[in-house]
Amino acid sequence: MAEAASGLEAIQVSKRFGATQALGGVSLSIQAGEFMALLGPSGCGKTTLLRCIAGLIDPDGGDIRLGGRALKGVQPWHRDIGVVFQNYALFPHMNVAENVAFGLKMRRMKPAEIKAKVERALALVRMESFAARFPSQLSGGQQQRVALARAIAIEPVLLLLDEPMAALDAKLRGAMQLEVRELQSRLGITTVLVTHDQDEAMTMSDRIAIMSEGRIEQVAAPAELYLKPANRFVADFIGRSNQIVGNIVAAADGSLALQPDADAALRLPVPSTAPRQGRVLLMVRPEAIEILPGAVGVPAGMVGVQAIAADRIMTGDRISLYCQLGGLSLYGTLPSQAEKLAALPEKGAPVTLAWRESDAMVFAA
Amino acid sequence: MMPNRFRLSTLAFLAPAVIGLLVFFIGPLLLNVEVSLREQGGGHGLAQYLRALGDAYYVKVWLQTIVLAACVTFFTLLFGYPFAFAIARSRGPVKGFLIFLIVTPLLINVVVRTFGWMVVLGRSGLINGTLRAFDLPTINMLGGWFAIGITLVHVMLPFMVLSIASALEGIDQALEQAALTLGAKPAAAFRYIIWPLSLDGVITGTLLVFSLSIGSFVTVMLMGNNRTMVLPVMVYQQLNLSSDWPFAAALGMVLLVTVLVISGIQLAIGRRLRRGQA
Repeated sequence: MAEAASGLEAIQVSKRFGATQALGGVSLSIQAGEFMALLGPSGCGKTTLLRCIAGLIDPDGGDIRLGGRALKGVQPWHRDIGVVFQNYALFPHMNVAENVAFGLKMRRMKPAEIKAKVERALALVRMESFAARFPSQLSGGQQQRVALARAIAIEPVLLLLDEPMAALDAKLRGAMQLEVRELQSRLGITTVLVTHDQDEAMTMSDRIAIMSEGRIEQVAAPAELYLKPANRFVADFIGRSNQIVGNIVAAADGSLALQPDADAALRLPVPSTAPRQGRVLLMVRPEAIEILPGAVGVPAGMVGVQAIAADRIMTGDRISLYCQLGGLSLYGTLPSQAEKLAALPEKGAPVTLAWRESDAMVFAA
Repeated sequence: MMPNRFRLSTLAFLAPAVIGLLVFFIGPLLLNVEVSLREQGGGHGLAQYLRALGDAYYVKVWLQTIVLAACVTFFTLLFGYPFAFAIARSRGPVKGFLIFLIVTPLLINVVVRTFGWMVVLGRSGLINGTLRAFDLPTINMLGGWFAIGITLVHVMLPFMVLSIASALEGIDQALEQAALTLGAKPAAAFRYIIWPLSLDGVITGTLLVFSLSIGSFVTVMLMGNNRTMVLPVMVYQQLNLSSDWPFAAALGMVLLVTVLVISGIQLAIGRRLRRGQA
């Protein structure tokens, strides 16, 4: 249905609002047919970048190229970019069919052609039977489908989704994420999703660009982002982790260890990739930590520490066990299975926490 | 017990408004109807109405009144819509200043405001003084429909502007942006999105301005001449100069019915427009 999908290239795009540098020279390359998420905390510049691409904001500097064509000076109504807005922005005085037909009408297509295209777009989002309804008569999920149909009816070369699921409840959000993803790959349309929800970004995207304070921190596939974060911000932003700040010190045998600020008497193992000295942040994901009851010693091929079991917290699909070692608290997680739960050490019991050296991440602090 | 007491207290709260309306609005209106039906020699009938609608002069005055109000409404809309748009799109102190600017005519006494326009439009006023300074011929703008119109448009603007501005402010800016990304040029986005969604404000504004300006009296008295006769002035003359109360009452009723009928037509057109644009 879509025209030949186009790649998008942002080159050193910058934008300033008064004293705030919303975008500080952002460069990003998105391949034709790719689904890219712009993920970051609010105020990181992701929405500004999306609006620059749509032409709703003029960047102060830099260049945006779509399918090799420079977009500078191209008005939004000439860009052929479909946008799904945060609150859908459906025209309240038009029914579903008229909403979807709007972009086609603006392109001065023949009524018969418009009718056929509207029907096809509504069929794609399974909303054919709602053509005569008005937006106020639709549920949130239905409104979103109509917004999506309206955006793809014009057969855009690029689809922009601005926090499209934010207003949906959790169950529906999950279903819509898969549905939109499926539709996108079927149409092969290059898509940029703006979201602050990392689950959503990971579920839907081929690659994710993590943004912070108007810059891109890392662009990578979801798994790489989670397992090999490029820097401290990404490691902290994506997923959960144990974070220990301290100094690198040399042990008696010449090997390196971390002396945590929280308890200077402790020594924690650091991976061989750690800097030789200075202050560092050690991060270990809780699911990478193996919890062994008793002071059994660290298994071969792993590193670890002895600790005392403290609180356990059940959060549905997993159990977290918090452990105390000196002034330091570490936690590991397990899948919620009755047999694993039964084997967990009681509060106050000794416990061994072990992880693979490669699962520990070290960043300069 | 509770529902009863509730109903009683509701009635008690409504009573002042209801009594006020009965005594000061409905009552006098009914009295007025009665007066307008009085005939010479005692009986009651439609003689006054037949007189008002059967005489070419009175019909002309009636039409003039409607045309004046319609023109004032039209020009108030023409000048008011862009102003309302500016208010809706501005922020902070600029917005405050624009609103202040538009409501100033309401803060000034009608006579003072009218004299202000006399100063601007008069034979040696601002405009003619400037023309004279450049040795251009002067224009007599006082004492006529033009002077009445400009003064009325000035005082009616706030009603139109504030009605439309509040409607425009209720329109999510994302709707316009969505239209633009769908291929609508700004003019098309206005025509298909902003204009139909602001129609509620336009209808409110035109209804207010029309019914206020069809009843305007002081401005027409001060800025008009003996040819710019409208119904309210005529009612005044019948009361004060001819002391013909029944005829004055009948003319008043004609004015009231005219406003009601035209407002109804306006509302119907507005509804039709809103649906047609959809």
